[in-house]
Amino acid sequence: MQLGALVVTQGTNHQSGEAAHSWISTWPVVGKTVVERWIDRVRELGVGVVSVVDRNAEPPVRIMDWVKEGVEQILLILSGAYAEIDLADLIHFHHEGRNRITRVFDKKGPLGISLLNRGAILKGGVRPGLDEALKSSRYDFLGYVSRLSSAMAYRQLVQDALEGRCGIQPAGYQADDKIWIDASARVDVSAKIQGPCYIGANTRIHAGVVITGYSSIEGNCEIDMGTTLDHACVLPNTYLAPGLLVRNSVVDGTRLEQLEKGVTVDLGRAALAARRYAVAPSVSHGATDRANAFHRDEELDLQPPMVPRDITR
Amino acid sequence: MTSKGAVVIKKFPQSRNFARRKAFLTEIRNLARSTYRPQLVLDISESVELDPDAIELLLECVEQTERADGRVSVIAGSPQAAVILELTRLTSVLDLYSSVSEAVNSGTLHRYKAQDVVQPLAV
Repeated sequence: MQLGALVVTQGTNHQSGEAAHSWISTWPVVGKTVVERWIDRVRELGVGVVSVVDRNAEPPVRIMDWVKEGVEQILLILSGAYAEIDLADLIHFHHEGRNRITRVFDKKGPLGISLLNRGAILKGGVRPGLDEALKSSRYDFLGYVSRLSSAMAYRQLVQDALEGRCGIQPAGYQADDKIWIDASARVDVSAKIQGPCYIGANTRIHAGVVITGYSSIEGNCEIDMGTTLDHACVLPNTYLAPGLLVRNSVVDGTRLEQLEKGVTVDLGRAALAARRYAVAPSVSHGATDRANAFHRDEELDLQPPMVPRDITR
Repeated sequence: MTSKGAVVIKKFPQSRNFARRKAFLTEIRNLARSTYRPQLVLDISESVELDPDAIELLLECVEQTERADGRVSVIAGSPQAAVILELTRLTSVLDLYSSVSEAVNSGTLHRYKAQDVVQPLAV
């Protein structure tokens, strides 16, 4: 029986204001986004066709073509949540009950994961999987779930991944107990890294930086001299100025969300952070590219990759 | 004339005007010269977020006041300004309050309250 999978992202609008956190599923969690992790798990299952679509995109996907080509079941995943569901068991449950639609629930309600039969798709496309009012079978899941409804939920997921409380394995090599560093990251020898923590690909950690308290720095970031990160997440392509104390926060470019106070601040106005832009090294630079100080810094810096030495637990 | 531990409340300049900020710093310098252990309360409650010049000016105020063995307190009206002050570690060299009354009634300023006059200076 051929199975197809459709992963629906919740949009990637970073400009939609403080209240909207729908893009969180596209934020990387210690190296990979939740969407990427869903795709990996679906592929491990041996699913024939996998498609990732934006929920707001029209038309959503060629589901009908899939069905005509012989796909008999479609696994529909709305990537608003991270859940460690045993997908093989879900399929088994669906078969055994001869269900048309099976929806996954945890104790708080539906998780946005459905398995649809060919008949249900022919009748209403993927709509039956999205419409909670339609009659369906219920698959109760009691394992690890993170709904990613807020930056705090995202932070908790990172913390759980670093602590090993969920199945997420941080990318990169394990430099020490609960310290993961990508091979392409450059960490100054004077930086103090206290695990558990994660440093992503092409990220640069300057002299005197302190990283502690389940902090994660995703790919292509630059943390300037003497800055301290404590219980903080730095999202990709972020530059942080020297001497800062970033605590209980999620930083995305110039946008900082302080989780304790529930306050969002634009650090760009205070020149404390910036958005970094990754440019391929082989690209020849015009005048505009040369103005990109961060890239130039990478280009001119000929230091060999530094190995973290002062790593304490 | 030298007063001892006077509490001085001043509104932090809002405008980015260089001359305006320079004049403000001169006032603070004069205050630090003429006052022993001044308790300077800077009201930045009208600033939603702080720009780099404002942070620099704030640091100058701290430096001048500390030269006179004084202490700076800041009234940060908005939580955004408070976050910036914490982020830049300024809270390690100044006291942070959410209102003037909170600052005046705090332990640091309270001990001067009985013997000294609180001098609110409009800027």
